[in-house]
Amino acid sequence: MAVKRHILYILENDFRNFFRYKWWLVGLISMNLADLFIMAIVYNRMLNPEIAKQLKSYFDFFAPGLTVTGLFASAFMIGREVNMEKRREYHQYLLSLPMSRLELAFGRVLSGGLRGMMYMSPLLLTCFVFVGFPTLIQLLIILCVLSFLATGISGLSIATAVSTRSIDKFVTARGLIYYLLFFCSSVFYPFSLIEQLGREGKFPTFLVLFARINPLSNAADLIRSFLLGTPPFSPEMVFSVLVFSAVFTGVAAFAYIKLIERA
Amino acid sequence: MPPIIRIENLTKKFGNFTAVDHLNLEVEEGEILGLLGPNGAGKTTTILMLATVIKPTEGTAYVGGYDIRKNPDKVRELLGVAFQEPKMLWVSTPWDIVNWHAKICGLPTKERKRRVREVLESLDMWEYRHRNVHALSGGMQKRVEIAKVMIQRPKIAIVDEPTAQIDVVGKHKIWRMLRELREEGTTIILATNELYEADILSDRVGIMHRGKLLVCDTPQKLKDSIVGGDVVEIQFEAEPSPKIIEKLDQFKEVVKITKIKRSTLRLYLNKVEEVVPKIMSALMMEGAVISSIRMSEPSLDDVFAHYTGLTLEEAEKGGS
Amino acid sequence: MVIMRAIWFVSQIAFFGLIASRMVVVEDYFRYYVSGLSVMTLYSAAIFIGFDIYEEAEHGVFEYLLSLPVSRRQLVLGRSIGGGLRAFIYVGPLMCIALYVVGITNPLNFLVALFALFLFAFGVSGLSITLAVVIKSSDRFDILMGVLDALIVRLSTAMYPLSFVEEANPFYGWIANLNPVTYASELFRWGVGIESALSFKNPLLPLLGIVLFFSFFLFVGVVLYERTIEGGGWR
Repeated sequence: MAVKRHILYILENDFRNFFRYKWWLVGLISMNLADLFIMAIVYNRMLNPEIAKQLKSYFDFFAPGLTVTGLFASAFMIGREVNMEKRREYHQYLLSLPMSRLELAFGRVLSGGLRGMMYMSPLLLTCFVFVGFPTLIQLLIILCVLSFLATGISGLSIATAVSTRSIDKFVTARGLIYYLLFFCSSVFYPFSLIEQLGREGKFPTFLVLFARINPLSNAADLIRSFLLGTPPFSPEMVFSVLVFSAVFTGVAAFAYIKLIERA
Repeated sequence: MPPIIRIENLTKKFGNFTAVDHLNLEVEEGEILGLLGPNGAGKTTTILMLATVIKPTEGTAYVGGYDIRKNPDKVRELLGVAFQEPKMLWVSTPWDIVNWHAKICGLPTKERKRRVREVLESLDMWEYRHRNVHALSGGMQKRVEIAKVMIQRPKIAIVDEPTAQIDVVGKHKIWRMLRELREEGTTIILATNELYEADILSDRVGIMHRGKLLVCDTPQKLKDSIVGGDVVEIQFEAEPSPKIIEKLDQFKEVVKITKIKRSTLRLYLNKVEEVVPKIMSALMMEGAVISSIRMSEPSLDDVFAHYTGLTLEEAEKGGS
Repeated sequence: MVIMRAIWFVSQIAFFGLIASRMVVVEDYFRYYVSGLSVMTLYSAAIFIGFDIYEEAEHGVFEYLLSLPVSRRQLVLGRSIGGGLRAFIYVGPLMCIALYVVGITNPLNFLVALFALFLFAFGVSGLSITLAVVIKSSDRFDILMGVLDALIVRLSTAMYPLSFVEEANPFYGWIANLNPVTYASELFRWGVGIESALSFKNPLLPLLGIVLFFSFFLFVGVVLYERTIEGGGWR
């Protein structure tokens, strides 16, 4: 009982701090809405006939991708906070609290993921309103997969944060991970285009493979498969996210404990 | 009664640098132990090890019977820590910080709300309870840091420079609160480099320098350990005769007599509070007429200098 | 910030620009997009001076600057030009990468475009400083900048030609027509020789737009600065 209580308090603290970064949240919301209601609408007009035939509507294609990117950005935020806490030695206070290291680590990873889910929910609802509603089973699968994704992203972010000592290294690592996952995925464009470029030799094979197994790709494609019927649903979409989440949740918990205690 | 904290050969090294060097110390339950020393003496590192925030390189400590290496979770349940540098996020508010800390430490909801208010009011922070930490001065942040320990009322409190950056009135408030905490049964480890604070609050003072504990005893005994540390200046109406000086020299507590002016003698002695009445009686019997008398005893800075050869200020500048 | 922006810039070229060019009908979209990306990056770098103002206010440096024997006009002009120049230095290497990818056909045109980009950067810095000293609340400034950043780039021709923006929504098109990011992007493209998808056939029009933007915010900035600026009151 005390274990659950401590984890709940960690969640409470992280949630409260999340909403204190008003400027960051407003900026992210503005960017997300602008991407959907401006950029996607304009790109809709720009599609070449072949892609237009495939996607039918770029807006409908992009909306699930946007949901996933919103979840990614907000779940990833925890890493920035953990890194700042380490630099300002706030982590010493957390380490002095009457709870076990595992409770602390698990609480942080979970709070990052839940924050991502909370931020993403209105985007997902917007996606449903404009693109179409899933069935109940599909909705449960989507929410399940997204929550695993969020926890994995939170874990990845925390693992990055605690393993980099200086702010410069953290920013570099964060940037590399962030933009690689973002842009080397099917969030903004169909995977078929990436494959095509790979076949033509204009895109490295390993990056094509990366885009294929990228959990952001699979999560976005899962939502598309339910709402748009394309790409067809594949268990690989769920499996990829689960593996990613399991690995990075474990890695993060381990890294958080080992590395913030290190002095 | 066994000591509540027992430190055995506790050592912390950072690369080639030894921050704490085979520290051995016992803390009795219910006492206020002052750890006095300049910046870099190893006080904060010792505190961080006791709080299980960092791991020792060698040795260990037993807090409330629990080994800090083997049972850190149990140790933390007994401790409340007010860090030297306030550990808080700039987006938080004093209310959030203290309230959350109380929750984590298990205070029931009803009692918690009342106590948060009480503690913040007593530290003059109630008015600022919803202000971001970012907008608080250093002294205010320090008060919030202390508030965490005050609301927790732990079995063992560790306070690191509790009144740094705080004004005089605030200092006295915090000192009073620490004494009240001790009266309720809390054992307090007080790390400080403020001599007056260590002197008036501590039951015992441990002097640290370059990672080592040099000495640990009550403030009075530490001062008394300096031979001839007490000073008495006696001004006579007329120049004192050699017989008077000889009479004064016969007191075994008197270490040295110096004539600083024609009619003024300076005596270096021990246990001034015991020996001055005897000196006055002796002088009266000799018919000496005294104009004035001034007494001073050594400070903890003198004690530090006695054991290290440096004053605290000198030690901070380059000695450590 | 510089590191993040650099990684963002390179990944945009390597991934988004390359892949999106397969998705759209715009001729030579890859070069089109990379040009717009350079302007977006310049904009982000130039706007940063406003955040510096808040940091200076926090540490008392701002009040120190106000106490110097320098007129308010000189102060705001100096900061705007400094902010713009600094943005150019930050973005310089990235722009070189962009130029390597895009190429230059007419160096003279490019020099004119570069001059216009300087004015653009100074204007953006002036805008940022003006807003910072008028708002005097770091939270509100951060929020405003976030919203502005999101809208100003997407409602411009940095990422897509004006014709598509107007076709998507006439209101968007109207804003994009008046947007200095549009003018800067179009001039950059004219300067490097990407003629196919230019939204303004006559480069004088966006050049005039940039000059007006720069002059307006310099004038407004100076006036507001002289009338309203004082130390303290920062939130």
